[in-house]
Amino acid sequence: MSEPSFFEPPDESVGAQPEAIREVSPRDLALRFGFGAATSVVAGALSLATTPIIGGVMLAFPAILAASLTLIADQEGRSDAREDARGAVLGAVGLAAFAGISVALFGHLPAGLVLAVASAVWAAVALGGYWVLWVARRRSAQAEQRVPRIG
Amino acid sequence: MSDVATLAVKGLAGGALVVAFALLGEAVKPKRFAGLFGAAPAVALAGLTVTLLTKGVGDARHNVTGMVAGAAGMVVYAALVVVLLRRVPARAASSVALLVWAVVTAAVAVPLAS
Repeated sequence: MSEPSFFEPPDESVGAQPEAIREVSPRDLALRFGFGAATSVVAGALSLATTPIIGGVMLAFPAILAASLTLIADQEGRSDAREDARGAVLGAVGLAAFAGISVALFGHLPAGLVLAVASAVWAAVALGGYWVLWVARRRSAQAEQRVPRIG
Repeated sequence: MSDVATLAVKGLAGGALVVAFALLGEAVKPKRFAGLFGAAPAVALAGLTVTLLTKGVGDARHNVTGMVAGAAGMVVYAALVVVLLRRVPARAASSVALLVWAVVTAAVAVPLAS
């Protein structure tokens, strides 16, 4: 089976597979925890040692994504890792929107509300982008296949 | 709270949120949909929450200003990894893409910081 390109929707529909969580090894979780903790500490330390703007850069450092992609490539193959990275492109666009809306709202709304709004914006951009780019396109292609040809 | 204690709390919170988003990504399919959660704001939410509690809104606003640059770099990072993984192993693809992340992030961050 050939691998879809970036704009071609994946063959599989979005769904839940909670049973897959049981297959995640403690070592993989520990690795991700370590990368998350290390990135957070470096971001905080850079904020203290330099400026909060430079420390803030590390809040979007792709160490965790790099660890995930390497684990997926090792365990499931590079094709699956590429599919994961295609999704991460949209997640990263959402992350930029998270940061942008936070810059605009901090100081104007209560801080907790800003984080809630920014999280909702991340979800809207990432999930909405996925729906527009790939779910709607897949449904449209399927509907076209169902229309009977006349003549 | 001392700076060391603050960093420790940031580390614990960041690690925990990264694991939470990783498990969320494992619990959904297909792989492309799961990939969204690989770029979720896990470290950002942990770091910003602790910064707001210990330093205040001013530092948090500066943090997210820098984060705009990092996130722009991450978009390029993820797109580049998709291309590189066709040609080279995952570790090499990630390493090259991390260098490009640094260049793109610096290019965006310098004007924002000045």
